[in-house]
Amino acid sequence: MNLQPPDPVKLASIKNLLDWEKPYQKSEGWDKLFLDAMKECCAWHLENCPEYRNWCEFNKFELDSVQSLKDLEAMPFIFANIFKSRELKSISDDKISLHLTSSGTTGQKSQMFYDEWSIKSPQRILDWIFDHYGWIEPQQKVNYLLYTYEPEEGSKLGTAYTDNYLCQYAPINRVEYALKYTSTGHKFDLFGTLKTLAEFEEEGLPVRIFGFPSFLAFTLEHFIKSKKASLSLNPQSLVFLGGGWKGHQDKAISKLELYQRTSEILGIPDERLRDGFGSVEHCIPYVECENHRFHIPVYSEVLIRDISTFKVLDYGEVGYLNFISPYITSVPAQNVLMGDLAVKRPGEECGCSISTDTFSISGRAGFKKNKSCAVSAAELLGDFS
Amino acid sequence: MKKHFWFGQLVDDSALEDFLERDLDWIHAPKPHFNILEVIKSLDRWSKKLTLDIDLDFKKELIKFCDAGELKKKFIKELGSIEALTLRRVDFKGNYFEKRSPLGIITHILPGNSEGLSFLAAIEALLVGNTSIVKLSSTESDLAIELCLNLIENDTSGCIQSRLAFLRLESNSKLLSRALALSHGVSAWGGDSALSSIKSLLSPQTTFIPWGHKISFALVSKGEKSKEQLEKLAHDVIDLNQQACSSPQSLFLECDSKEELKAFALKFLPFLVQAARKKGPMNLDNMERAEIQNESMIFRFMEAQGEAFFLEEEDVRILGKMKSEMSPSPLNRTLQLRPISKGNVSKVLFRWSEYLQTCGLLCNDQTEYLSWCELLLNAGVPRICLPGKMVDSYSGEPHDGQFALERFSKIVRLEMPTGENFNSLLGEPLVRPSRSRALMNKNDFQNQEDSGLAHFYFKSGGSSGTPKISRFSYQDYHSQMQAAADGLICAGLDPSSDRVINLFFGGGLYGGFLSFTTILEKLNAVQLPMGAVEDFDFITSQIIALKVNTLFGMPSYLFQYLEDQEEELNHYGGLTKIFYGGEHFSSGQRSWIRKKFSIDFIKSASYGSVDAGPIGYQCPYSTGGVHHLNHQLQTLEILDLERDQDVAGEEVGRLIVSTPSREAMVVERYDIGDLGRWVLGPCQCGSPSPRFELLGRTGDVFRAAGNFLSYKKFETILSDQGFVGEFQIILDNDGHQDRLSLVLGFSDGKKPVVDSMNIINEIKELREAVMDEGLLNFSLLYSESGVLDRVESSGKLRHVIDKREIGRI
Repeated sequence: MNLQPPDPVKLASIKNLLDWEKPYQKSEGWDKLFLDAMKECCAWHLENCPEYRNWCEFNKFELDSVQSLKDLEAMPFIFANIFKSRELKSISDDKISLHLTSSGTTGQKSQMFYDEWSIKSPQRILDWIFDHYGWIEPQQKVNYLLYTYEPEEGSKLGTAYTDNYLCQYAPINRVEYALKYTSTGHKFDLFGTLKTLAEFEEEGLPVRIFGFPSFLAFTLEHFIKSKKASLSLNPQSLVFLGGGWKGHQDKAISKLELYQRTSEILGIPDERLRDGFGSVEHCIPYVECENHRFHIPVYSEVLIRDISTFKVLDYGEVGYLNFISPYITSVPAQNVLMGDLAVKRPGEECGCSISTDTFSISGRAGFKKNKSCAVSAAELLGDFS
Repeated sequence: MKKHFWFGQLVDDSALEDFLERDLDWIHAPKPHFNILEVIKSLDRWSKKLTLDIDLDFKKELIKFCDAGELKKKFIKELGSIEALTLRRVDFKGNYFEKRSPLGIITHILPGNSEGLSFLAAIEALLVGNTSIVKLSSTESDLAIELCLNLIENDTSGCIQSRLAFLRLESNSKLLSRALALSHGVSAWGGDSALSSIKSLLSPQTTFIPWGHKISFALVSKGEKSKEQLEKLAHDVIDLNQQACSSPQSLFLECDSKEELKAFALKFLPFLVQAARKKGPMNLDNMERAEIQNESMIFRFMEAQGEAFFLEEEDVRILGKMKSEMSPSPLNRTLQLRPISKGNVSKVLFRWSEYLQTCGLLCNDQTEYLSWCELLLNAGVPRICLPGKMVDSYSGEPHDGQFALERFSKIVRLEMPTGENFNSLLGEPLVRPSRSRALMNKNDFQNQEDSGLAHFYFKSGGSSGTPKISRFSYQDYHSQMQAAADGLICAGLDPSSDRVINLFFGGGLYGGFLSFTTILEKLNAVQLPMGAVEDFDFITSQIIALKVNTLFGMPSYLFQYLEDQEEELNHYGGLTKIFYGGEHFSSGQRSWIRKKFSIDFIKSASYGSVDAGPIGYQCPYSTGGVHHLNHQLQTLEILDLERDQDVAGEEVGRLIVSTPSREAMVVERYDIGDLGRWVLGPCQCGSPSPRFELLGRTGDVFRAAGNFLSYKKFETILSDQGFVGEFQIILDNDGHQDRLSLVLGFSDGKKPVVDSMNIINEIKELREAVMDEGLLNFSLLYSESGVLDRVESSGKLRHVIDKREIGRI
């Protein structure tokens, strides 16, 4: 498709960068392209977003000072939560093609705006990633089990949108939702899901399971508790999870344990069980390789920053997760500090065919339950405005 | 693994499951009666002797919490009186009794890692007699359980073991749900989501007692503030790194502009830095640090937009924004700064009202302070204090606007078929001191050191030597007056219709007048506080004008008054009752009053002494010297005259009184100098309190020829013969035998006529000793009144003079 950024001339490097179809392989001269794209992106936001301009001035940041990739470290980043509390836009309202709220479980919802470019260029990347793993199979009919919200008219929840999108890589035989829409909100339909799985096993087609890990875990727990017999789904089946544990953190089991149970109970081989990481503020998709690691696609840089000083840390050290990518033109989120703590590791350590570096999430930053009896901001649900 | 503490024993999971699912006897089996004074005493002693190796700060807190004075103060402050758990009459028009009762079984759920807090929470619930099941988190140490085991081992009250259980359970455990289902009340600590999820597990009728997270703030009015005050405020912020619910997360400044706000921030920051330096660096984990950073990043971004400012120095931060709003802070030396005005206090605080805890208020003067207080109280702030005091507290202080003991108890009401004769019920008699405690006599009592708890100083009774003083705390005084009031009701005062004139002596440190004023007030009785004045005519005029029917006073004074005002009072005819105290009414005097005024009702208001307080009272069925013990206040022992041994049955002995609750002085095994005997068996009036019969002063009862004889008995016989004058008894030897001489006093040359044979015949023991056994000589003598033997200082007549040599029986 001929996808264009808002200003194809000013943002030519961005287009070049994001037109590259090999998510895990850098082309020649990639670093310079990346640098140019970042500079274009910053210049774009400086021009179009007054708040970003103020922020850069406040931090005494001069775009001209960025001469090398290393200089990107000194670029002012914006904390992801800031997008929750105010609208930052670098495009006019008529250019907004999508307006999403994230399914925030701490009570605050992000307001993110996307122009066509900013939503479709990451989607393309996901296409290329699926292709990289050989999951685009236009000839193979697939049964889909979606652990996600059955769509209701006008739902702005970001994750629901993504999961429908995921059904385009293989033609749909059947689609079933695990979270059924009811008049009082979505309800997890355990028994409907069990029935669906049984039917899918019977039918024998590859099954693709997408959505929230928590509900998959509940399903498997039921198998264990009620000593149900395991299923043998088609070994070409695929599990691709995302969206976190959705308020069920206290019941979270480790990812490894989840994969183990999935393998045992549904019969899907471990290397076809994948988690995905993404967020409303940073849409570049991070997909687990067969060794269950998040390799960083070439379109973004990941830095880990010290919690106290924000200094960039080495491999193996825990800190704030900082994403840098020039794909986004709608809001100044090209250098965003997430509310997650993470660790980066060199790509070669993984052992799979991808050589880009990997990162893993260590937890949420600053959202522990307060030990004392003082109310803390983090625990308040709902807003008081 | 035996990891749960179950009412005194360590049990494993499967035993616990049994207790919660199948074997529920522990719920229904009767527990040892709960005695608050004994429990307090036990906790006090135990905590002060505790040798377990525990954190010193917590140990200090534990000792302070368990201190007898502190516990009593808390109990009385929160529930009204130390007798709150005893059924008391609440209505004199019917027989209605009420008391505070424990909720029953309370399950406590506290946040994990609150070392020691779980133990204190259970003790608090224990104070009103509850049985506590405390959920410990699996990561919590064994501290609470170790403390329990140690406490049970050393408990002297016997009330604690059956009331404490500590379980190691997960939040989602089935056994926890089971414990919750068995509970009458659930006390839960935590944030909103924790409280919601616990509440959702309860049945709608289970009493839910949440202790939620709270928010506190400081408020500074417009105008220059002194260095000292700002230092104090800084102390509140830094002292506990804002971790306490009473630490200020925000500071509101009364101001109109951003410049003022920023100027204050710049001025205040150095005080915070200084306080932080004194306190020392914090040791924050990643989460705590990240929380601060998250908020800081947001503020820095806003600062870049000109919407806020962010000041940071040496790990202390002020986050300022020109918006009147309450904002929680990430704590740990991060202060939110916002403007406020008198006009918007209510708006700012309204949505936070359930979360508000403390406001530290800094103003320029008293008037301004009060006006802000009014606004803040109306807006829902439950606690306001001066800068520097935000994190302090005192015993019995309401927590989050509530008294904990109130929340852990309920009020029960009981109607009795009859109850006119008693004011309290179902209290188990107080525990008498162990025999290992020494007996006290008057000297021991008087020579006690002043413990510093005294509020009232009253002249102690005693007709010999220099006046001694007895000390009372207000609590002592009121407990005693309440007990006496209870007794007075039984004796027959009807507060709903009797109108009383109080003619006791007052002033000069005398207790009589004041005590009865208080007693009558406790009964809501109508009273004229006249005192023992000399103007008898005035007294009579008021009696008539104000329709008094009841006299209160000392017999000798009342007798004088009645003699003097006989005609007027008879014309009035409205007097129906007399209550007396301090002396005895002789039977002669009684019959005279009966004859002249047709007043049959002449009763002792209370039997007691200034030293020991009220000891007994007479119900309508108590005749002569029979009294019910004020058993809610005193314990009574009746001991052999010579040895420290209980008398058998209804034998005569020494009355030994103890007041467990007395705090300004020790009244423990106090020999009050009176003799008496138990009157066994239930009383017709229905009151459960034990009865004893007074036999007069130790000096009034004497042994002669192996028998006990009492001065009072002689007095009665003489009075029946018509002799109402003074007399005394002299005991001596006339050679080889004991001799009892009855010396009758006379004046104006009128020698009385008395039949000595009648006396001998009427007193059984005398007849036996004189006539049957021939062991005692009896003689009747006469003497001028002025010559009779008297006590030097008071002029009181000596009743019995024992001149016999040692070896008398």
